Amino acid sequence: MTTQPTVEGARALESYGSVREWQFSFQNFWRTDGPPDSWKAALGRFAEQNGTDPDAIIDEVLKPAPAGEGLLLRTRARRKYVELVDDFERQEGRAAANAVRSFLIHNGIAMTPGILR
Amino acid sequence: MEFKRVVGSRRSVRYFETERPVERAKVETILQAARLASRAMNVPWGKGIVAYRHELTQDERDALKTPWAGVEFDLAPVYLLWYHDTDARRVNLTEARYPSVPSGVLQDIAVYGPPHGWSRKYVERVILPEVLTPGLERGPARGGNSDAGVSLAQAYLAAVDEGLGACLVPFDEQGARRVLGAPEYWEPVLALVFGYSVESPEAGGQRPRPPWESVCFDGHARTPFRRDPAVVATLEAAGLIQEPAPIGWRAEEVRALSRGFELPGGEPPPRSA
Amino acid sequence: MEFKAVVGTRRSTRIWQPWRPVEEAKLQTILEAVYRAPRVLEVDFVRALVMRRDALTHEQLLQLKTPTTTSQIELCPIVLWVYADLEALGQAMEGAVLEELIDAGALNESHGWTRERVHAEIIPDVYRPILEREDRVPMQFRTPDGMREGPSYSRELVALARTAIGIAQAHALLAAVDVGLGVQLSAIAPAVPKEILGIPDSWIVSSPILLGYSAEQPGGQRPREPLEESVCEGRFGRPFESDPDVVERLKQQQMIQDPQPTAWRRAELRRLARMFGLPE
Repeated sequence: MTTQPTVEGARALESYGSVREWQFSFQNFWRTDGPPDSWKAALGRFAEQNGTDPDAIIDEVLKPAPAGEGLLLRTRARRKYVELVDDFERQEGRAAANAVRSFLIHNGIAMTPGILR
Repeated sequence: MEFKRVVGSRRSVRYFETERPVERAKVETILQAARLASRAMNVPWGKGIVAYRHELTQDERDALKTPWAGVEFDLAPVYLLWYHDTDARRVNLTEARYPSVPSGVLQDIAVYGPPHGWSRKYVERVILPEVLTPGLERGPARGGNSDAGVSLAQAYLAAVDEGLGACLVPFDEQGARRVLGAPEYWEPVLALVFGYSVESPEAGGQRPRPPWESVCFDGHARTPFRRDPAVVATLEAAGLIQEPAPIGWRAEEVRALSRGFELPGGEPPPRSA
Repeated sequence: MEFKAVVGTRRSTRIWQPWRPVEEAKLQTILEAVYRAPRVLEVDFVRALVMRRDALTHEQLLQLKTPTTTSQIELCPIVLWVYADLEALGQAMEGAVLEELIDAGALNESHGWTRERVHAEIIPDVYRPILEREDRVPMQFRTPDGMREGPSYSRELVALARTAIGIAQAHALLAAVDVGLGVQLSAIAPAVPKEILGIPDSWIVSSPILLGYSAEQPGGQRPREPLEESVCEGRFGRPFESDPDVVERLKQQQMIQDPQPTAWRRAELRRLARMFGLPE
């Protein structure tokens, strides 16, 4: 990744509920420590670049919707973030982008990237 | 038995050693094979009732028959009536009794996870409310379920593997409800009737099939999959492809079996002048 | 492979070796098993179609991909679609298949089968009512301009066709395991590529079968409910009780195998994620 993380920056992100959820879910699934600080820093850069914050991203994609419309809204919002993360990958590489994807997935936004071959 | 030979040996058997019971261990093996079949969301869509000919009266057997299949119920010692449980999704969601996608267990044991795009939150916040729950309020819905067919097929092949004869036949839904208590939300699939066959293993030969080119395609629905004769030869050696019907002596075998069971069709053909 | 071991070894594979092609002979073997699968009411419903990832254009692949299926489509070299042609029952009304089976000694007078009865009773009293039931299901197709409605078919016919699909799918799944491939009957379906594959409106489909050489170890057998929950004996409500001795024997014969998770599963999954650049 292109920018060294700061402990302060990573800790600041932990004030967001969605980042804490990411941490919890990651630890719970992998049975290891949570995502490294460098991943959180990548998330922070992604959010800042897109004028948003971690909780707002999750809310935008998973917000409650009128009955019957939820799936469509989620699909559109999810596609938006898939594309934004793809853009982020072009700038910062797969590892940084996967950090953001990990955050999204652990918060319930399913996605899979193209594979590396 | 080797898998390919099981597939190749399977054909509809309709004449059984009626009084010979099928060992319970074989019946359970057949059921276990069904249980282990692939199914969406790990939900048990296929459900069954095992019934034994000798425990039913003639009237009860008659109640299961249809214009398509009748004598099979008189000759086969065991029936597995297979159903699509139209309430399985609701039970799985509301009771979470079994390990399944809704219960989150498959995630917990790392069958899939974040590399596949999945997480517990995804199941809770998207799959459950947006995919699995909608439509439940309409109640159980009929219209078939391919996973019930998958499990039934595994049962059928397992029967062949156990050295039994079997065939798939429709059964009367109302009759099964009356005789065996099948619930209304179980939609009938087919019955697998089975037992020890009294036909020759060939049972007249592998049944004719439509042209390969009308069944198997490659990349487009108008492009047949090229059938390599060398592969066919390999599969003949492996027993997946066997002697085709009609086998010359089949008619005489059938007449003899018909006489043995005192069924129509046992008369010898008229002698030529 | 021994049949019971094939049944016990089958798992849902989700990560394949994307670089490794599946040999034509193995594809044909799988199709030959599908071709020999039992029919439902002797109707030739089944159509099996091999879709090759590497034969698709970039634009076609893009059409197939969704946010949740992108890596799956790129990892898996072969998708086997098993369809049922709902027009098949109408075609069967001529009685040719039933007559052929009578001639072959498969359907016999002992069981009520004669050419006369096929035309006097089976076709009008079994086949025709299924075709003509009032409870109907319209076929609907998604197009760039919205939903398009196609022909409608009786719900009972659709149910029979789905059974036929499932029976054929079982043969494909097991045959694939038998020839050493990893398979998945995918509940996460890519958009059905109707136009790409030239699928007629009368063909219905269930989940696709994904095939290839697995990059994962088979891992433990997936959890299942007890047999007693799914099968009754003698009457609904009386569970068929499993015999521990039978279970033990099936374990020795590898139909029942050690359950998931294996101790190393998470480490394996992490390694695979890193091999293919997948998120953790």
